[in-house]
Amino acid sequence: MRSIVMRIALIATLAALAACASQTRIVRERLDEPSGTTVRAGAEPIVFARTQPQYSSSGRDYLYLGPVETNRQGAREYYVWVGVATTLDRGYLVPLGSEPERLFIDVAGEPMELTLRPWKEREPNLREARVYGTPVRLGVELAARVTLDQLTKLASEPLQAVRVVDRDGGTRAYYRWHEGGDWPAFLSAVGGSGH
Amino acid sequence: MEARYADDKRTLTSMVDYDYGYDKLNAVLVLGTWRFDNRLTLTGLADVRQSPILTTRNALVGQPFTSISEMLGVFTEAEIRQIALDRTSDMTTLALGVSKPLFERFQINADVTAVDIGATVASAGVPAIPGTGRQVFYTTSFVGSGLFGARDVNVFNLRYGSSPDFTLSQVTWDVRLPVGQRLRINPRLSYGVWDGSNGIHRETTSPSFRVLLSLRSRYHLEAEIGKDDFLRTNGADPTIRESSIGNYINIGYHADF
Repeated sequence: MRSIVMRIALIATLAALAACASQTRIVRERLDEPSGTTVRAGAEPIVFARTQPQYSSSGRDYLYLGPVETNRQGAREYYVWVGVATTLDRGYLVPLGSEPERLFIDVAGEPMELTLRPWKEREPNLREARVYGTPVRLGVELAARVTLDQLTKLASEPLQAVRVVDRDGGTRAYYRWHEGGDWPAFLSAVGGSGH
Repeated sequence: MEARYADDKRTLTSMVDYDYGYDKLNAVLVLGTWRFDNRLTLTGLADVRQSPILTTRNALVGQPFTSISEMLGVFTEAEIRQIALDRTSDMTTLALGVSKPLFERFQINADVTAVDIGATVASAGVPAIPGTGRQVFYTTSFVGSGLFGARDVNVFNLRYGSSPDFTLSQVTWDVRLPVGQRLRINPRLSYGVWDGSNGIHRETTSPSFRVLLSLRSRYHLEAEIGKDDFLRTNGADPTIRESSIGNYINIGYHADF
């Protein structure tokens, strides 16, 4: 019995290490043929989390942030894409949260306010709307339209915490979950000031 | 008396309960957590107490009386107080735990817990109860969220315990799956092996299935059906091999206040 227990623990540990080793860091680019739009995004979004220990010691709310450029025959648009996800049992153990409406990120000590709209509303012509994959299934995908200058400013920040304001006016803070999400590399690729 | 401390990374809670009537320390509890920058969390617990908590009513344990006033018809107050002390043992629990999230959906927890329940002495017709000796339990659990969907929670738990009288090994898999907003199903499977120092070997397999329904109000309904499958052998006597099965159904509710 003891050897079985040790084997199972070893397999679980190896599986976790294998998942860790599979991460890469590149900027991704694809052509959405039906709309003629080239979509560029970072390899992975920045992950922010919000814990609620009164409900769960292992579940969390997540906010994924990633830069996106769409290029439609030279007409470029820039976005901060926002994925909202949770591993909390919202609606059963935890009250349902309302959808974020605004995002606040501190830049040089001042909050930069970004208005969020559904990603599909921002780019309705994309056939393949998904720009970032996330380990946790997304509840909502949103985006804020930004300028390249704003993206450059954001990339120069450590981005340790962000705040969102819900439709009902509630404010929630999320904290950086782990390193990752190479925004300077993305900016270099799209021609912005990445360094 | 209680004292609490908390900052961004550490919490400490302590409690001391001293019984002036018996001039005895009833309970001392110290519980601390420390969260490091890499999200590793250490938890420590020291709990030294009387078990059960020392009250004069402990004297009723094992007695035919239903109240202390009834008992006073047979024993003096001093005798009753001594009997209460005799029924009460010292209990020490020490625990150290560590937990660490792995990526966004997983978490690993491990802890070691040592429990020592002291002996009680014989008096007033109630026999002595021997102490347990130091029982040490090692537990590791692996928690995975969203493995089968968006809100499921899977807990895989390994437990090993040892004491002067037995060793215990147990594996448990517990899954909580959402079905819509209001219904949760909770299959669970546990397998345990208990080996006594007297040669008795016991295996227990316990599958169960729980359904939880959240009502619109603050009430939750729960129903559980399960089975405990026991196999008992004795190394000192290979002819002994007993198996038994216990089935059960639990139905209940709980309310949030």
